[in-house]
Amino acid sequence: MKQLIYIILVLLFVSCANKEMNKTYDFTTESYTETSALEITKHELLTEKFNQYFDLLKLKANHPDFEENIITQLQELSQNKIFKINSVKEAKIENIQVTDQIIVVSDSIEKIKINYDLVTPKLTVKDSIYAYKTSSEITIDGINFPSLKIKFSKE
Amino acid sequence: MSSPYHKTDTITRRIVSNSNNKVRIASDDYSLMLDYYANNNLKDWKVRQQNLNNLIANNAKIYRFYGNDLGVEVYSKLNFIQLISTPTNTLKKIKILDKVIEHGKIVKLKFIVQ
Repeated sequence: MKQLIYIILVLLFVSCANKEMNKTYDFTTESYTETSALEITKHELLTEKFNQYFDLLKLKANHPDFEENIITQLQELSQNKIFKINSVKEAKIENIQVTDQIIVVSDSIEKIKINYDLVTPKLTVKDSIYAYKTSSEITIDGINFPSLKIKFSKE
Repeated sequence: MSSPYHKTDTITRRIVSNSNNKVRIASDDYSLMLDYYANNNLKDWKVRQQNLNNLIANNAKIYRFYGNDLGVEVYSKLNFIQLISTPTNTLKKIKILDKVIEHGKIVKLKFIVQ
C-alpha cells in the first residue's frame, strides 16, 4: 500500500513539473496586461520626465566628456532652447507639483505648468517650468493607442 | 547570484529539471553607465554604444508604454540608445516587456519605466 501511494505521489509531482515546463506566454497579451497594471498618471509621467530633464542638466554640467550625447537628449526634451539652471552642479529639485493650470495651445498640444523648489547649499528658490504635451494616435499590432511626446520650456 | 554590473537574482531549480540549462542574467545598465561616467571612461562607453547600435535594426520600432489612458511614446533607435547609455534615474527603472528579433537584430521593442 505504501509503495502504491509513493508511486502516485511521484507521478503527480512529475505531471505538475511538466505542466510548469510546458507553460508558454503570449508576450503581446502579457505586455498589455502588465502595462495596464502599471499604469501611470499624467502627473507621475510629467514628474518623471522633469526629473529626467534635471538629471541630464546635472550630468551635462558634471561630465563634460559626455556632453555631446547629453545635449542631443536635452534638445529632444526641450520645446525651444535648453533650459539653464544656476549652480546646477550642486542643485537638486524638490516638491515637484504638476498644477492644474493647463493651456490648450492647439488640438494636439497642451501646456502644463509645473512648480518646484530648486535647492542649493545656500538657498531654496521656488520656480516653475512648462511641459508641452503633444498627443496623437498610433497603431501597434493592429491596436490603436494614444501617443504622446513631452517637451519642456521656461515659457 | 550577484555582480557589480548585473541585477541580483535568485534562481530556484527543481529536482526534475534538465541539467545544464542556460540561465539568463540581467545586466545592470545603470551601474555600468554610472561607472563609465564616474571614471570618464569614454572609450568603453563608446564600445557599449556601438554594440547597442549593432544590436538594434536601423528601422526598429521602439515603444514606451504608459498604460491605457496615456498610451505610448515612440522612440527612435538613437533616442533609445541614448536613454539606456546615460545614468539617469529613469534608466534604473526601465523594464523590457517584449522584443522581436529578425536576422539577429531587434526590430521591435516594447518597454516601460516602473
